[in-house]
Amino acid sequence: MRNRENNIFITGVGVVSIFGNSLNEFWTGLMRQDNIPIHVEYLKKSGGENTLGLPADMPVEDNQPADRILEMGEKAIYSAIKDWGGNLSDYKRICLVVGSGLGFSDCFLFRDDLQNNKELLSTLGERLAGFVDKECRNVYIANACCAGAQAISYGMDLLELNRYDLVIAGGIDILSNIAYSGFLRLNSIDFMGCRPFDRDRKGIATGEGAAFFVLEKQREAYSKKPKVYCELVGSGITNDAYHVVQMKNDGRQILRAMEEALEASGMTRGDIDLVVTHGTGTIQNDIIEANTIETFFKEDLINIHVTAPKGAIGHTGGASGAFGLLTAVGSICHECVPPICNFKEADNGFNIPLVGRNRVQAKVSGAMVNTFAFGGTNVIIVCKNHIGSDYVG
Amino acid sequence: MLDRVYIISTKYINEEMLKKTSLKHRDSRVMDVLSKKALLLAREIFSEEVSKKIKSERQGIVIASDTGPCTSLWEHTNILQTVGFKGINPSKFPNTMLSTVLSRVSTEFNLKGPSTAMYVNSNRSEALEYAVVQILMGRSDLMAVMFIGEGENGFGILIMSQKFLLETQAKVRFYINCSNQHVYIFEERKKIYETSINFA
Repeated sequence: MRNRENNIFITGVGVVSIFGNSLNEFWTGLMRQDNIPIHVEYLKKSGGENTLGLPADMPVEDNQPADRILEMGEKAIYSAIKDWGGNLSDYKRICLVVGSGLGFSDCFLFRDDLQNNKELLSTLGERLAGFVDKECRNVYIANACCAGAQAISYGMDLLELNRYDLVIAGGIDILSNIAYSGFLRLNSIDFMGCRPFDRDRKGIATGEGAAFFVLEKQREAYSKKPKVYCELVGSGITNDAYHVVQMKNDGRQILRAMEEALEASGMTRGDIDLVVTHGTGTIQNDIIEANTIETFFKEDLINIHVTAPKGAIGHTGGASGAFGLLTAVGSICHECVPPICNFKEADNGFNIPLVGRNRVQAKVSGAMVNTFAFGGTNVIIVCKNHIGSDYVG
Repeated sequence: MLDRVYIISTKYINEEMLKKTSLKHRDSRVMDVLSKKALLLAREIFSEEVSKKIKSERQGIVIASDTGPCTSLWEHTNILQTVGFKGINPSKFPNTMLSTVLSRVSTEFNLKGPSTAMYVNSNRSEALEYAVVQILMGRSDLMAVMFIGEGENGFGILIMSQKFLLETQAKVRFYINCSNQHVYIFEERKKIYETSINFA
């Protein structure tokens, strides 16, 4: 793995979430607990009687899926650029890296002519890039649940290799009848809400949202805009090469991704204070992730806090890695680790320091964000507190 | 910094080849047309001897599609509208995601390096660039880039790092120069192709 020569900073954040459309609103919501899914009329098209989900803070019933995802993306991207506060015309090479697992897929429920318009799915990236700048290039990663994290990781790489001057990267997905019906059929939905790492967990709760980050290299970040949320220092990407939907029990490739990310960051296990888990709330995945964290950190576990945002926001599909990073950013900026919503009692087999129902006031210097996907891809991102940040929460 | 990657091979499949070849796979009953096409193309690409000399952890793949799994989405939504979720075959539900195509290929060829599935449209260079970046970042020595869609031909490129080329002394005809924020493809010393990457 190549050692990073450049520091990559997050200098702008844009979010559309269940709790509101700013980092502070998102953070305040994360601190509340017991977020139970509500009835969502839109999900009736899945053909099920239980239509529960965790919708984002925007009208859910009125618009078509294409309009909804574009509106959500527009809001998140605009707010990221506004929060960043710079002038896009000062930058020649701008790239939007979008991660979305399902993107426009739900359009197939509403339009009969899509068999003759097979390119629709691939247009999400360029349509979102249009909200940034007409010259903005786009990359659209569609690697299921890790799409957002992979988009951010790739954005880091593009800046590191000096291929762009400014990268906006993140994840987006809307409540999807296609995903919801599939998970219903797989018996993977917990109607009591997602309960990551809880003894009585039964599965996921479907959520939605968008989180985008403005990424810059050190030079640009200092000269153009001094606000820095945190520094992205490493990422690791591996594949289980095992199964279409199942994670491999031994977690070896997850461990390798963690090692790769940490090696790239130049940090040690002892430098990590926080692990933001993928924590879907499914029985098997949480066991594998908990065991992997335990194996990786060993004696350094004592200094670490482990949290899981999906208890509060549900599984946001391709955006989940971006929301994981957003949780880490909030923890760094607010010097606090959010509780795990809906959590009551840890599963007996877990020997990791879960924060449980109580937030933990702690200075977070280094954070690891885990994301895993259908298809076997594991993406780990490591970020750290940027000393000298003038962020005011 | 290593700034070159090398093209080991390019492979191509068309509809006629697909019709003639029956895919032997334990899951072929539940696979959609995109996965089958990808597997057939991957079998062509990874028939190269050099790919067997590289550790599985150092091999990665990029699946790039302009259509995605349209037919599977169409079938899934038709079932939802006529029968409801109970009519969904849980083994076929993953076919609605592009990552399933990726998983089929990575599992069969044990590719444990960086992998992704992405949508591309008129400019397909993003997928090639993703693979090149993974090699330049040192995550991988061998990357397969596969362009597949429904109702069209499939095309795949196998690229390799400079480091591994030196180790294996493999013979290559084309290389990609990635310096100066551009991607050029060379045949020996003659530039034959130039992408529009980063010309914003």
